[in-house]
Amino acid sequence: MRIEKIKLHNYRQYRDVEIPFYNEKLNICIGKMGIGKTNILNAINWCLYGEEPYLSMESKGLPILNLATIENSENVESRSIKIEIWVTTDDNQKIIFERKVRFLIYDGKIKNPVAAESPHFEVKISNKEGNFEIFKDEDAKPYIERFVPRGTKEFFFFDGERLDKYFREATAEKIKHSIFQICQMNLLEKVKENLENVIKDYKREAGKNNPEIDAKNKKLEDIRKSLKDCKSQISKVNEQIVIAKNKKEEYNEKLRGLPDTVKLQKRKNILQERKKEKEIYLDTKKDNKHDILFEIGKNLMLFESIKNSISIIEEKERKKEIPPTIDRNLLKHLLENNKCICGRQIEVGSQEEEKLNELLKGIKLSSFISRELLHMKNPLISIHDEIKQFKIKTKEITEEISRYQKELDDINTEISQIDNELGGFDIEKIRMWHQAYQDFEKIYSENHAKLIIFNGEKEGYLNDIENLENEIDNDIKKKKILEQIRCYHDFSKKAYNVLKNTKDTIMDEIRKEVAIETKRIFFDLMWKEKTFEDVTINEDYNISVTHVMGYECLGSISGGEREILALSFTLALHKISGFDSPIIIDRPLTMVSGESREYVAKIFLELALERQIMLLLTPDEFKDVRKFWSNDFCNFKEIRLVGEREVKLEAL
Amino acid sequence: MKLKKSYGGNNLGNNKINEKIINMIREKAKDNELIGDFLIELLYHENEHPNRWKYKKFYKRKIKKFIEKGDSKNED
Repeated sequence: MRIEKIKLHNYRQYRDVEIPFYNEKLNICIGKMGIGKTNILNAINWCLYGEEPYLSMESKGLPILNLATIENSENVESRSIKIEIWVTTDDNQKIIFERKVRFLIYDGKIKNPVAAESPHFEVKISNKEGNFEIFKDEDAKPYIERFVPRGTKEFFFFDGERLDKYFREATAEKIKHSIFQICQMNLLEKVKENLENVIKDYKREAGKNNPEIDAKNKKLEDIRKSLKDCKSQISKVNEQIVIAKNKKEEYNEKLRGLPDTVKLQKRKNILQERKKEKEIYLDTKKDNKHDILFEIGKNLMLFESIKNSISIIEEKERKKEIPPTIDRNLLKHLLENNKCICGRQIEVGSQEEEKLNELLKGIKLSSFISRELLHMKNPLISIHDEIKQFKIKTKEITEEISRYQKELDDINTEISQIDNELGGFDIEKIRMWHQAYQDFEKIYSENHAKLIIFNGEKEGYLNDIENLENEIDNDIKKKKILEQIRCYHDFSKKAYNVLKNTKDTIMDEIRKEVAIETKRIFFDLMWKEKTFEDVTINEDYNISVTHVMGYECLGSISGGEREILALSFTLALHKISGFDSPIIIDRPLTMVSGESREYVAKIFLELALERQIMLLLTPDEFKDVRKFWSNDFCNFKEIRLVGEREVKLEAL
Repeated sequence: MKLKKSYGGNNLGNNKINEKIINMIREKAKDNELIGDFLIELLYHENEHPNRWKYKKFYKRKIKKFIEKGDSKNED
């Protein structure tokens, strides 16, 4: 289906504006901020679904009826808002979707902010004769479902921020929901739910005739309620897991290539502690060495003398000079008194006197000196040994000091290396990223643990439900009085099971198809070669993008890449669902910067050849990409302010 | 994927149902075609009632009708 034009009458800034849509050309609408670009999206939503999901705060405070129309009205007047969307089907059938509402105006003011009557919605469809058949309100609504079903509208008319946020915030539940919506699984689910309620009705009816069945029905309802609560918890936990996973990836990517500051800082702290210890040891050892030098140093200078003294004493000992055998003084005394020890007189010149003189000559040291020398010997040896020991001790302590010094030097070198590694980085920021990564890691693990518990509970409830349902089914079968109810019940149950199997099988098949198609489109559109390895949607509906280096990188891809991924997913959903209605995106380049803008701009140009696309841009966004969009392949319109209350659409 | 136009022939019959759904229902209900027909009919009606509607009465009527249809087939 293609939009031919959208006609806006008295809708907000648009007093009388017709927006043409071209095929095989990129439709571009340029308008300053606040001029009313987004209200084109609101107008489409209002016309088709009676709602304005993208209203700005400013617009929310203003009446939906054009202000210039209100001001130019006199006395009591009736004014209408009308929006028409002209569509052509593939077999050239014309369809006009139209919504209008009337307001009463008194002296330039709306009498009542609420419309004078309920909005009218109608669809005009051309028949073979070229005449239009008209379907109104409820009869007209099914045609919207043919064009852009309400449940899937956000995949056709959306703001660019959504493309950016989609996989930033998307949880598996959201992806599942999207596939569910666009592939009409909601329709299948609705029939399934309704059939389930009808089956419950039959069971209740059977319960009215049987208190036992009634009691089991009540119990069944309670378990179903618990199951519903449990599923809701699982959904929340899954959401947390995906957010935490994406955040972890985001921080991991931020930290990629950066030094592990936390680890390095920790190491540095340990080294600094060790450095302090070593410095204290070194100082102590130096003091020890100093003390030794001081204590033994004074003896050190006497070492040679001590050594000689010991040699002399030892020599004298060896010569038997010490200790002397006869006291020298005694000999002197005997000679002076000429008397022997026995009292006999020693004659002068006698042989005895000559013998005593010979003895006296032979004794060089006195007994006193000899004794002193002998007393000195041991202390001298002790000092000598101490001095000898000093050499060994100082050698040891010097070696110890140099070992500590070496260790200290190594520590200082490592600290400098760490300082070099950390140099130029915002340590505090990196530390915070590390902390954030660890926080999300914790959330991820905690929620995983919760998920296991909840899944266990869910299994338990499902088993209980199955058992109770079987019991009730058997009870119904046993009671002959319930024959007819049993018949209806069994038929519904069979139909329900077929529907359930159908839904499960199709969901899985569609998930696989969407995954393959998303990957195909993504790699088709992606301008970067050899960056990404794979795009997958797993059984739990978690999307993942694998980098060629093998790591998961969804959380860290750029705004442009994320937009292309979301666009690929959206286009894959369109293809699988069979809906090829036009896409209208408000400010698609908002979250895309740098060279990505150029590529995204070119991609839209390519896509426009296959399907209708309208982009709503600010002049700044347009200025950046204008050079990539030639007039041959694009149709440019500018929204310009006329006066203060209305806008016009003019060709650029 | 193709979308099948409505079955049923009423004036709301331009609604589309995902062909995959129809085919899968047919496949899953190949042992009991009546159930397949019943479900497909429900799907088209559900698609034509995007808002709330009194489905219970309708569903029960259809269940009755299809059971009777089955009975008459069996009698034949």
